[in-house]
Amino acid sequence: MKKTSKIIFLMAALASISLFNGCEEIGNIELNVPLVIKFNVSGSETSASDKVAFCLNEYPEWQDNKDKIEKANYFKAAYWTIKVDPVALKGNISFVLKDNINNVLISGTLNDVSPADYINGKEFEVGQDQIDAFNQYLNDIMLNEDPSCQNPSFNAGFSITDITGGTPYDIDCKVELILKTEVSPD
Amino acid sequence: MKKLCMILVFIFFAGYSSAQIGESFQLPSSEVEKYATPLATWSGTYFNSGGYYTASVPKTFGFKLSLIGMMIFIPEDQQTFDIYPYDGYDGDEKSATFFGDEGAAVLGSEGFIIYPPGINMSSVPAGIPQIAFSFMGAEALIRYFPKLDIGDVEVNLIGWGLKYNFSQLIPGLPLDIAAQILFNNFEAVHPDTELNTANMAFNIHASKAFDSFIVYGGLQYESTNMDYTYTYEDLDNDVTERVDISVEGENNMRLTLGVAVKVAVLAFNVDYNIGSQNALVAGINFEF
Repeated sequence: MKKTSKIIFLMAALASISLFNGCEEIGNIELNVPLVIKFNVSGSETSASDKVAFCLNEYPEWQDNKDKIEKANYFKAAYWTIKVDPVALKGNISFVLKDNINNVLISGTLNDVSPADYINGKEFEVGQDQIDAFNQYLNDIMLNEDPSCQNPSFNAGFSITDITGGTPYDIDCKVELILKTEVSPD
Repeated sequence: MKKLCMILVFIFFAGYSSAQIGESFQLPSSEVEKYATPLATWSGTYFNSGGYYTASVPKTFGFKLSLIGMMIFIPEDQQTFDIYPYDGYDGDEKSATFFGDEGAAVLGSEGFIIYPPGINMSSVPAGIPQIAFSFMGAEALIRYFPKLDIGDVEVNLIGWGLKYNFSQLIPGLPLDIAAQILFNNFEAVHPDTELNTANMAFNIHASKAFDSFIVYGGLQYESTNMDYTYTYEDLDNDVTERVDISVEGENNMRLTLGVAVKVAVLAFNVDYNIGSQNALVAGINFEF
């Protein structure tokens, strides 16, 4: 009976261990992190522009995971018109993303278009050289970004030129960048 | 490197999905269901495994303490799903299920619609202890642990089963044949997420003993329902919504084939289960 009780004890111990062990390692999780950059241009001139300076730390998805992000790369980018007045407005739309010393990382242009046509978004075609430059800069700054953002990591610009279709005009729009990050589950 | 352990799959899902699906990914519930269905199937494959290694049941009193370990294999077609983020979507992109790898990001009317990534695992280990009491050719099986706090997730399990060796009613049968029914309920509660799986299985199994060596097999019908509740924070409108989703596992039928060896009061068994997700199950059983 003593031997039996030992076996039962051993089995019970093994059972409790079995619930929480025998594990398999989880690798990094590939999390898509969106960076939304909003712009507004208004006026009556034939061209208008807006600039936004920002840091990665301003985005909650990045902030929540930044200590666990081991790698980040460009995935996708797209432009959306949120609101445009007058609707018939046309022009050449440009977006540019620069680093903290104004080197161009990513740029995109939509020539002779109506912003109203992009209420549902338009994905940018970004060249491999720009993607490489962006990725290199991103991975250089992501670990050393200034938490107070006194020296913003990125400078983004939106402009519309050769405007026709009515004045005064007002455009609310945004560019969304998706970063593919590798997040450690630790 | 963090390890993912057995029932902790659920805990990981509860905490992880609360942080990721509820806040970052504003997906329609139909897409969350597709993301979570393989997890429900895994739950069923897990809890509905290891119910037997012999159809023989002592005619007098018997006791059995079993430790069941298993490896569940997630097929490739359950690691991704075809996305349909909104009515009229005509793309052909796929995104990861809970067990997959990369989440998709597709153009939506208000921004990118971002899908959650998976944990990138094609085989997941699991284990469960159980005890059984038998009397007069019938066996009652119990799986239980009380509410446990693991991090900020509270979990508990209760499972039971009944089995009857009806071949004892038919004299002269060359093998033992038994019927068994199993019910297992598992609950994981996170401050922002609740996950409950209800698993049912009914099987007919048979075994033939050759001295201390047993060959066994069975056919099992089973079902799994996973209720999943999470809170969704709409940051634009500053409201928090509660979302309830019910997911059916794709585990319905399984074929089990296995062998066991008895050594004194111990029996060692191994079986292979062919179903929606295949599983290799091994057990150590102390019995008298």
